[in-house]
Amino acid sequence: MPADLALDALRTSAALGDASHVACVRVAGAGAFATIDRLCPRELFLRDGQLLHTLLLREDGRPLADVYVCADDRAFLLLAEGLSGDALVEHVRATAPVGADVEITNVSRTHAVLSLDGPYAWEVFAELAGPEVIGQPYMTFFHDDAVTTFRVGKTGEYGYYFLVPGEDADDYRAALRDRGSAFDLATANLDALDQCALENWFFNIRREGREDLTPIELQLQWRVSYRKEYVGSSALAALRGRTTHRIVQCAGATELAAGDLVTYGERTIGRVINAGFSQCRGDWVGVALLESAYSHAGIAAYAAVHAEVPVAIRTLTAPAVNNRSLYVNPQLHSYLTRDEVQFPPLVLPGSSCASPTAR
Amino acid sequence: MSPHPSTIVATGLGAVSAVGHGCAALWSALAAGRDGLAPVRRFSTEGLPHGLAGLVPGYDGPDKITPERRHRGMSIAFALEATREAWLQAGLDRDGPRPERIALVLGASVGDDLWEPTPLEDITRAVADALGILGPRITVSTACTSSTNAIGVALDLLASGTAEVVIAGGTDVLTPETFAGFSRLGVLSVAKCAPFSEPFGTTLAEGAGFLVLESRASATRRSATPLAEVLGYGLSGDAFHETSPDPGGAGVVSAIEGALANAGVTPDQIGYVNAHGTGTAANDPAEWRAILRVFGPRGETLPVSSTKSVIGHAQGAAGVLEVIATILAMQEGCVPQTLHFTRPRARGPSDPIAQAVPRALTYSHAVCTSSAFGGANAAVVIARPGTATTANRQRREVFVRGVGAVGPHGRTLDDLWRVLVAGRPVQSTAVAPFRIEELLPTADPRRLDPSSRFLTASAALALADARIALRAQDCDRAGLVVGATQVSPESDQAFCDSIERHGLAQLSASAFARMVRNAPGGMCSKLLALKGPNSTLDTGHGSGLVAIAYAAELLSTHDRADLIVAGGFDELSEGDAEHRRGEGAACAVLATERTDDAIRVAGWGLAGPGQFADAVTRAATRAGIDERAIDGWFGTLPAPADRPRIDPAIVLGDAIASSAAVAFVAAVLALRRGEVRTALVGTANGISTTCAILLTTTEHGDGR
Amino acid sequence: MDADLATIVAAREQVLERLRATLIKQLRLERAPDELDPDMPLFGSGLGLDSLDAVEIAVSLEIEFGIHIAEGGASPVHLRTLNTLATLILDGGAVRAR
Repeated sequence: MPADLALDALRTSAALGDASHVACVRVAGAGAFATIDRLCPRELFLRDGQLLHTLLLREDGRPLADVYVCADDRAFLLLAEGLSGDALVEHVRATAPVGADVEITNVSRTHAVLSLDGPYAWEVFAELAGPEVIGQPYMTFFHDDAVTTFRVGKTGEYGYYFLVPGEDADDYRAALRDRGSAFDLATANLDALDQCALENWFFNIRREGREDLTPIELQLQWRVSYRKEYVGSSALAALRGRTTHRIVQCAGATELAAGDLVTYGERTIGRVINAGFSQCRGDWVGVALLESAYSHAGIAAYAAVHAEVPVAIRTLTAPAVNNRSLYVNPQLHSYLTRDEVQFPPLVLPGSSCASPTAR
Repeated sequence: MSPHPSTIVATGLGAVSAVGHGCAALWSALAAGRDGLAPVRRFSTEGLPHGLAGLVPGYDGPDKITPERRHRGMSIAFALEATREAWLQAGLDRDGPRPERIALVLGASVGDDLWEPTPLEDITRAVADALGILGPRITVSTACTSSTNAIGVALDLLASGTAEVVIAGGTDVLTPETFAGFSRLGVLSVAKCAPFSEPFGTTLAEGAGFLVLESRASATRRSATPLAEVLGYGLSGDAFHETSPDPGGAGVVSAIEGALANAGVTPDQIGYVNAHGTGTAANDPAEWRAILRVFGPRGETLPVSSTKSVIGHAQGAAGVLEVIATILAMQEGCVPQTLHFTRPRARGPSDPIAQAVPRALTYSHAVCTSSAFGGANAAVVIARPGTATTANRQRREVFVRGVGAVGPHGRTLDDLWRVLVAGRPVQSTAVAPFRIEELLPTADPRRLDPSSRFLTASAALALADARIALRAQDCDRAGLVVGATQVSPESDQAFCDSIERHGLAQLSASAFARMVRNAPGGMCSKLLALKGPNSTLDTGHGSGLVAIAYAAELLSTHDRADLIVAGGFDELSEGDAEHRRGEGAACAVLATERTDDAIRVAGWGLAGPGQFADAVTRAATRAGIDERAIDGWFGTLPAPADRPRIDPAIVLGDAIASSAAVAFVAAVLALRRGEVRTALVGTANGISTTCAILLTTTEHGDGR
Repeated sequence: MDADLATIVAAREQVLERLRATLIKQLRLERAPDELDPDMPLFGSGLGLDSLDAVEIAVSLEIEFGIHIAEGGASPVHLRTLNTLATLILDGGAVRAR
């Protein structure tokens, strides 16, 4: 089944994806910094060529978009999920200081975003772009001719976005596919990428982002600051210290789904807000919103009510996967000699809820 | 074509290293394939997973240090030995210029003691006094590039006529704190270091190395034999991280290309590269990438080796010792080898000269590279005697585009001027607290100690005053040269506290990273993305002004930077207030591009201790200005009896490194206001280096 | 909440609290403890700590919690979040009584 291959490749080699759900906008001009500063909930401690992972918030403090802010030589690039390019342009324009000299361009109109993820994604990319790229630090980007490469990733593995002129996208994809054949490069659809994001505790604007939850409930306080003003800052300040629930990662041996209530004995303590079957773990992984007192890792006392049947679940110390990418060292390793190395298992012993025979 | 008379040659070499005393011992070890790396006996490495080092024989026993004396004096002892050997080989004992025409440039990373860091200037002074050197005495402290950079400074001193002979090199001792710091950072190897191979990690060492450098004409006059030509050097900054190098090797590329350009040599002429090659996981691949970028396809098979496999990583003495090893091998018609090489890494030189003994090779030019904490990189080009035929140095004009100062006066230039003109000493010489983000919104304040904060703030203010916002493509050609005389007292305290509280094995790694003199320079260059020439000098009082003069020299005669931020900084420690010590920082933005309101840096001159008349004359000669035209005096150089002089130290407290830089700022302000037309800024240092800089408005200085 | 669960939760909350205080102090973080979410990534994204911070954390673990990290640096899997550190501490690892 293609889905199996993609999930397997994302965790053991590399997979190519179509990141058309990612919008790209460029903000330039003398007022660019002031505009981005107003939008961005984090301090803009960014050097040229670096990215920051943050959110765009609504006035009520809830996430509007999942955003990378990129410092591009006095201008800024925004890579966003959750808003279309046009909507993002409008949002930026509406937030820019009055009279600001700022030029906002919807780059998505002319460019495509491709993704490449996996423990050997760097090697596939190096085959195409040369060994220079191997040293590129995480959360940086660079331009090379017309293509901009961002080292990012929401799967817990090495990952890249490529911003490619629309007319060249097919060729670029074909070139990567061609170089990738020696690396068992697969093609991943958004579901596969979302599943990996779920397993690796990456916030998904299209799933948990649609539950009207606050950054505090979502454990995303690292993406915001209480020390500056921006769209949503006052709402966030008001929410601070008043949060009653928090999300936690969980797993179960049988199916879990968004909406399943989570119980502790007779008491309902929360609900599942996102879940999916983990191919590498052999069990079901989910994100549950629980009352804060109960929302802790390493607890095996809860149940999720799925199709009216309570099934035991366990809360996890996120993330749920012992990613191969933690151990693959581009200076030392290669996909082609992977069998010569003894890597730790993808799933730590005792972590999965799957019964030994189920896998 | 006959050799050019102004080509700089080395006429004397001196070395003290892990394989013994003297250059003969160094060559003998290389020839025999013997390394000097062994289990440490001199101090305890208990609690650390590492225990190998390259200590100097005769100094490696446990009886060599005591709790009271520790390593005091050892770096001076090493330096004295190595300088003497070079001095004698160059025949300076029988025939040499007068002492004022001989200069000393000494590189040192830590010196003797991290626990109670003593002024590095003391080491340089001790060596200069012992040799009777009365020309400029300059300490370069850029961690592991110190001695390579020192050689470069010597080239500039000779080319500018500031000295006829320069002794240049470096010295460093391996202290338990340094060992523990590197061990804790995870960069030491459990085995003898194996550059470009495995296991990853380096082996620390110590020692001293010095070259006697002079022009070919001078050597001929003195009947001294040229042993090698030193053709040029380059400097850069990674602007990346406190301890890790830029993985893409861009900084090393810049340093090597700068050296080639300064030497007037093309990459194709280089037959051998003596790499920094520490053997760590981070350095070797980045350096290899840099070599490929500079040399292209030829780089794949270019012989590259690392002498650290023989003598270990001698820190501040590493660069010069590796240059000496290269020269010794060149004399024997071979290249030094890389020892302990077993399996090649996935990415590395295909020819690391991995063999037991040096390899016979015919070549005329070599490059020696160094990299350091704080992201500093340096490279030097060496050639066989008689190779170079041209020495064409174009001189560019230098202008001051902006200035900035942070101090007890505050942060604005108006406040500074007001306070200086009023002339009343300030009540408190401390800098009022401020957050760096106020001046530089993109600067993460974490891990900034006060020294870094003052320096970065004044540099940012100077750039703002210059109305310069660097574009990405400008950063490679924008540098930073800094005068510093101490380690940040706050960082030093944090470092010592961590050791006192928990022992060496659990010291604070981030505090350790701030224990090199160039840490603030590294942090400032990172926050401002200044990737051009990067250097930190120590000449005691007035270091900041000497840094400005060095920056002017670099801009004028090297083609690798269009802009350099230069200045000095100081930080108070407890007890300083009662001595009216000052703190703060002052920087100037120097550039080769002239603008209407720019101030011209018309001339600059360095001279030996107390020789301020010479310094002024040199500056005036370079400027083509009559000394009698000077109508403004700033700093500590004496002014004519009835003329006013602005000395910031009187008002703001004696900030050793930065007062002179503040004087420079004051001079610029005076010129801008039309109060003076020709300003002399000077520092009358009686111990190391006197410096004079002449500034004029751009209309005034025209038509010489 | 029954006594057993309360004990587990209290133990974890206590370790997390100590970890937050230690990290804020050792790494000079300009964050209040309540801003450090338990499952927030420490390295790469999240708090964005680097290799120098990793060394400081390893030292803090040794000093504050008696956890000795293996030679060559802390295992990457333990350093991912405050919770992974807490799990390591709560699981005992190589904890020495302090």
